[in-house]
Amino acid sequence: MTLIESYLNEIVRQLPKKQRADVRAELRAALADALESKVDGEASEADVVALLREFGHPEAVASSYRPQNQYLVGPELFPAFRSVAAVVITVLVGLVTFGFLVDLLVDGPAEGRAWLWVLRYLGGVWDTALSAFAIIVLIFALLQRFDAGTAAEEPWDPRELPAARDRDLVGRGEAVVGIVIPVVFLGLLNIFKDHFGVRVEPGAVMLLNDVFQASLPWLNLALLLGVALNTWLLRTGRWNWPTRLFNFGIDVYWIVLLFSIAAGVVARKATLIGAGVPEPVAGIIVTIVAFVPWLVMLAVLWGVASFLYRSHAGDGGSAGDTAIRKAG
Amino acid sequence: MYMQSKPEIQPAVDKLALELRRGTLALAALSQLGTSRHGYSLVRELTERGLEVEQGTLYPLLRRLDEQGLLDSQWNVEGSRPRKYYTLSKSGAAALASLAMTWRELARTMAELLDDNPGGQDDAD
Repeated sequence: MTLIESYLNEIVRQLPKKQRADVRAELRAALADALESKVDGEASEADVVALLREFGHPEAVASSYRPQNQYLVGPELFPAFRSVAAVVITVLVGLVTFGFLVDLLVDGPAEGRAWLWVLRYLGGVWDTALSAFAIIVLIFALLQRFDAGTAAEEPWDPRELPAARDRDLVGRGEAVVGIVIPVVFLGLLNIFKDHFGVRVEPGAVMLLNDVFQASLPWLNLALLLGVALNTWLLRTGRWNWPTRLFNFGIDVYWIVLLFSIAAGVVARKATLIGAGVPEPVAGIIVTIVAFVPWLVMLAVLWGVASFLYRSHAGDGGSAGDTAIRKAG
Repeated sequence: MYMQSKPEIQPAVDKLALELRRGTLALAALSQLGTSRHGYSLVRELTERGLEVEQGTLYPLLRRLDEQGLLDSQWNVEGSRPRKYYTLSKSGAAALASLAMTWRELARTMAELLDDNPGGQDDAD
């Protein structure tokens, strides 16, 4: 009988407390009845084992008792989750790799310490990827809890679906990505705020970290504005002029912020060299950092120009339409 | 009886067959609960009639149907051990009638569909 009791324990411990006694009593009677009808007289251990095997794995039985569709991240959100996780983690691993390569350039190849460097690098990649993954799961779990699945249950009318090439339509996935990515960066920038910068040798002062820390509140504000905008867009589902202007405002704010960070770094070039960073390396760092705001500005200008062009063209024709027109 | 499928698709075929059987289990259970029965007596009844029943799925199903109000349940402490008895409730009887109609239509349509396809006929093997 103890086998049956262990089996019942295993099932009911996975169920809500208030169901346990009832389910246990019912299954206990059922198993005893089944055993009686299969075996004459005293049941052997082998009989009980065969009966329980036939009844099913405790995990499977318990899960039949639980309500369906208990998800941390359900099937509706999973594709978005997968792409966000892939993009964010790839970008972050790229950034960490870049940081470590800069370190390597600054330090020079430390003799006999290559394995230590590799370990530190792998540790850094692991920490970053894991933190990012945890934050992404958390955000998606919250979205799942409060938002997902509700849309599919509401009554709907095919005629009310937005026109396929409607340029005001907010892509749901796009908005979700627009929320998740800034939140991930908010987490990482603030958790690892002491790790951004250049260190000439282990234990030395982290150069440029003061520039980063001084701009951190402004970076946080920029990211929060992005989260706010995308949360709003996710709710309303459409772009309009106020949200477009707000979005453009955020872009401009980013450009100004990045230029000011770049200026801070450029002004530290002499300090870097003074602290022992080889001059060509300092030159490379400063050039790359100074290049970023220009790149962002170009991207923003490109976005604005293509939006204005499409608005001017009138119908916001998509690439597909253009291709069809050309073919025809 | 069965035409054995190629081994590599067998797991997928088994899963589909399991889903078919599971889909009919609720209707089968409701059909036999016009009289009050406990879980194992229902299992015996269905098995004797030739329906393969996964017990680990049946008991949770009974509980769900009870919570949905299609069954009434009652503990009976007479006899060798306490057992939970289930009977069709009033709305359960209505549900049974409606589901039985759905099933008969479905069975007729499926039979016709399968007749169209030589592979689906009874005497295929």
